[in-house]
Amino acid sequence: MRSYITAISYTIILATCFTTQATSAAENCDPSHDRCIEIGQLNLELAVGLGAKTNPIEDSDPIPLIFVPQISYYGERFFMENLDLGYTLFESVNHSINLIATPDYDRVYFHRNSLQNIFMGNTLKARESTEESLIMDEQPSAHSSRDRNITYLAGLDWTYGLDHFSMQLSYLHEITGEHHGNEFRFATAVPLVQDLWVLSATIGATWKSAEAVDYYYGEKGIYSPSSAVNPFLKLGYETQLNNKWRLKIFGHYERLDNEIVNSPIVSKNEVLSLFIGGIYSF
Amino acid sequence: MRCCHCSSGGYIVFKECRCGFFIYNYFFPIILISYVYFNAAAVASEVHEDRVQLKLNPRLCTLSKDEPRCKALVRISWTSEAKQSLCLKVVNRPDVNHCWKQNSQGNFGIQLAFKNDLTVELRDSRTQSLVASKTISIVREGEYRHRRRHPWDLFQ
Repeated sequence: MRSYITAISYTIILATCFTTQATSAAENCDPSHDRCIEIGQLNLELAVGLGAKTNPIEDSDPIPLIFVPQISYYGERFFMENLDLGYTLFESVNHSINLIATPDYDRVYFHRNSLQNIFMGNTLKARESTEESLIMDEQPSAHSSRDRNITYLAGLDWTYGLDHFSMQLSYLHEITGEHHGNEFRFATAVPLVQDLWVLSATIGATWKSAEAVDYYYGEKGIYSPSSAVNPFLKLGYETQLNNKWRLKIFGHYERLDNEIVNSPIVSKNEVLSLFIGGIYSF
Repeated sequence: MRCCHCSSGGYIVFKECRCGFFIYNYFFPIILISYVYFNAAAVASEVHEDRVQLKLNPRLCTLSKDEPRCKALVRISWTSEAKQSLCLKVVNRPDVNHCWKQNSQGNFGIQLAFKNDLTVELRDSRTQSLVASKTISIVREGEYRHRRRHPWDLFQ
């Protein structure tokens, strides 16, 4: 509880400092640049393709990536990217510092019809499921003795970007009162080829506190894990086909920490995501 | 084609005479088409005489995010093939009113400030019927900001 109050206090102090000195979020943004987005416009994209994300939970099917909607909205400072909500405290051409609220994505492994899964892609699977399998999907894993509720994390997020190079660091605290855990997310994307098409490599890692890991992968009286670090590597290819469609191919490999792998409900030490398809902008 | 003299028209005569056949199949249609064509051309000519060409400068006003309204010297000019008595009016601006008596052209300039599209009209001074109309459109530049970079995300 004390750490929670401390985190909130720091956040408010930082927010006050940055807001008073903040430059306008709209300044120095060239509309022709693909990183610039019109304020006040709701942007809807739909990824259509073939892909899947493996599920490390024992006896669980991969999560299909077939139809994946992407919704975003940017106000003067407020923004929404799928299930992420944010408020920009400071923004320059290359840097931005945001207050963000984001869901905990571990829940997607336990609940096929989780809200997070809509933006990960499970729509085809859900439609194809029989009534019986849908009922099963709503239930927690057969290997788990308890439910995992939707949890939201909130905290500070710093990003740096220069053309297709970008770096992100987020510190998050669980705010929905389920486990009070913390999370650090770090990622850096480096363009390998930057031409009419972009080939990029992303490396990163997620650190989860013991409370967060225990909430998802612990079993009371059986297994009580400590904190975990999951590193990942992503290779992505993207090219604009026309003004509506762009082609996207990616492979994402995440290595699970032993604290997660050693859980009795986990059977794999990695999560692999693959996708090839088009993204349509409405 | 051999042609003969036909003293009378009518279907029966045409059946009996090659000349009648020619008249029935070619001559009447040609006359009919010619009549319609020249009559239409005459009507078009009358309309063309009254046609007024209205020109506005500028045609477009682009506002940045800090500009609430467009301020511009609006130049209006018109030409007509026939002399006409016309009055210039601006929609929703009753203070702007300028008339010409029996002219085939006119020029007018006025400094205006406007927040929405501005429509300039030329109306007949006697009947007030609309003769020509043009609009200066306002285009507001959208405000843009940087999209959050999110390399941690699967689809970014």
